[in-house]
Amino acid sequence: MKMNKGLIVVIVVAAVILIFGSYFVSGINRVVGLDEAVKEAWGQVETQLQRRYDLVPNLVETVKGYAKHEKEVFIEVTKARAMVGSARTVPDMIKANNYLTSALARLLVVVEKYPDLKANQNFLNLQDELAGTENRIAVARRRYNLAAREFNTYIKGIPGFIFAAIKGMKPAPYFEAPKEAQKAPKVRF
Amino acid sequence: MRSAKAALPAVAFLLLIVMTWSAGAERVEFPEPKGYVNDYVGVLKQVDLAKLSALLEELEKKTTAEVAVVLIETTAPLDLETYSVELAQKWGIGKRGKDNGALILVAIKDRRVRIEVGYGLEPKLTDGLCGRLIRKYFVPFFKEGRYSDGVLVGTTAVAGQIASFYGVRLTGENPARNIRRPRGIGYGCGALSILPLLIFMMLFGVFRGLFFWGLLGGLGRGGFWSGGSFGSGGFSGGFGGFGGGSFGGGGASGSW
Repeated sequence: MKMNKGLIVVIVVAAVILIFGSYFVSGINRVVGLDEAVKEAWGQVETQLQRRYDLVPNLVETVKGYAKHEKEVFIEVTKARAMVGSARTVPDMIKANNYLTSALARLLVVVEKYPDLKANQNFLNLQDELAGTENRIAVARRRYNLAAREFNTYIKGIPGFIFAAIKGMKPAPYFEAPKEAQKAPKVRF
Repeated sequence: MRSAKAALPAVAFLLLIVMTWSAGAERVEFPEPKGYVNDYVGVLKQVDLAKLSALLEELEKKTTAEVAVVLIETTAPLDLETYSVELAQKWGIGKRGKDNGALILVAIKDRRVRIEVGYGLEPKLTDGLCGRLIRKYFVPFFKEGRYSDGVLVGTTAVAGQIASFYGVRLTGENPARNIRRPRGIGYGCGALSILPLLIFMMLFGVFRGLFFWGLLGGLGRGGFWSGGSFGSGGFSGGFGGFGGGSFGGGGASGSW
C-alpha cells in the first residue's frame, strides 16, 4: 500500500512535468513558427520592393525623354531610390519605400501633362509593370501585416510573452502604406 | 496571481478586437465557382459561355493551366485588385505547386477589367502583356457595350497566349471566329507588327486559316491555332474544380 502511494506521487509528478514540459515546448515552437511566418512574408515584400527598385531607372529614363523640364520630380525619385538602396533595417526599408512610393506617385501625376508619352508603347509597358509591381507590393504587404499581427498578438499576450522573452523576440513592425499610395500608381486608360 | 487576474480582461479584450477585426476583413462574400466561366451578371450569351468553357477545358487538358472567367456587378467594398487576388487565391485557380492559373475578372458596373496571373504564369503572362491584351481585346468591345464579344475575344487571346507558351495547339473551334471587330481601334497595331510575316506567308501560300489567328493570336505571335477541326467535344461538363494555385498580385487592370 505504501509502495503504491509512492508510485502515485511519482506518476503525478512525472505527469505534471510532462504536461508543463510539452506546454513549454509547444509554446516555444509556436513563437518560432510565427516568427518564421513573419520572416517569410517579409521576404516576399522585399522581393517585390527590389523589383520596383530595378524598374525605376528605366521608367525615369523613358519619362525624361518626353518631360526634360520636370527636374525636381526626377531628383526626388532618384533620391528616394538611393534611400531605398541604402536602407538596411526593416523600419528603415519601410520608411524609404514609402518615400519612393510618394515620389513615384508624383512622377505619374507629371506624366499626365504629356499625351505623347502616354501613347508611347514602351512607357505603357513600363507603366503596366509598375502598376503590377505596386499591386504585388500591396498584396505582399497585406500578407506580411497579417503575419506580423498574429505574431505580435501572441507574444504580447499570455503566455506568449514568456516564450518571446526566452527567445529574445521583439514585436514585428507593421508596414503601413503612405496615404498617397492609395490614390497613386493605378493605371487608367 | 493578482496581476494575472487583472490581465485576464485585457487579454480577452485584445482577443475580441482581433476576432472582430479579422471577421470584418472576411465579411466580403465571394461566390463559389460554377465552372471555368462564371457569369454572375447574365450578360454572356449561352453559346459564348459554352464555347469558352470548351476552350478553357481544352487548354487545361493540354497544358494543365487553369483559366477562370468571372463577371460580377461590382467588387465593392473592395477595390478591383484586392477582390481579384483574394478571389483567385480562394478558388485556387491553377495547379498546386505550379501555380499556373489566371483569372479574368470583369466588374460590369465598375467598368473595370483585370487579368490576375498566378505565380507560375507571371514570367510568361507579364504585366505589360496583360495590359496590352486588355487594351486591345477587352476594352474596345466593352466600350461598345459588347460584353459577351469582348469576353469571348479577350479570353480566347489569353488562352492562345498560354497555349503558345506551353508550345501546344488548341484545336477546338476558335470561339472568336466571325466576331465583328469594334469600330475604330480594332487590331490595327497587331496587324501592322506582323505585316511582314503576313506578306511572307502570302508569298509562300501558307495563308488559309492562319490569317485570322495571326491577327487575333498573340500580338504578332500568330499561328498557334490550327483552325479547322473540332478537338474537344464541346461543353460536356469537364470542370472538376480548381487545383489550388497561388497568386501574388501579378497582372494588369483596365477600365472603359
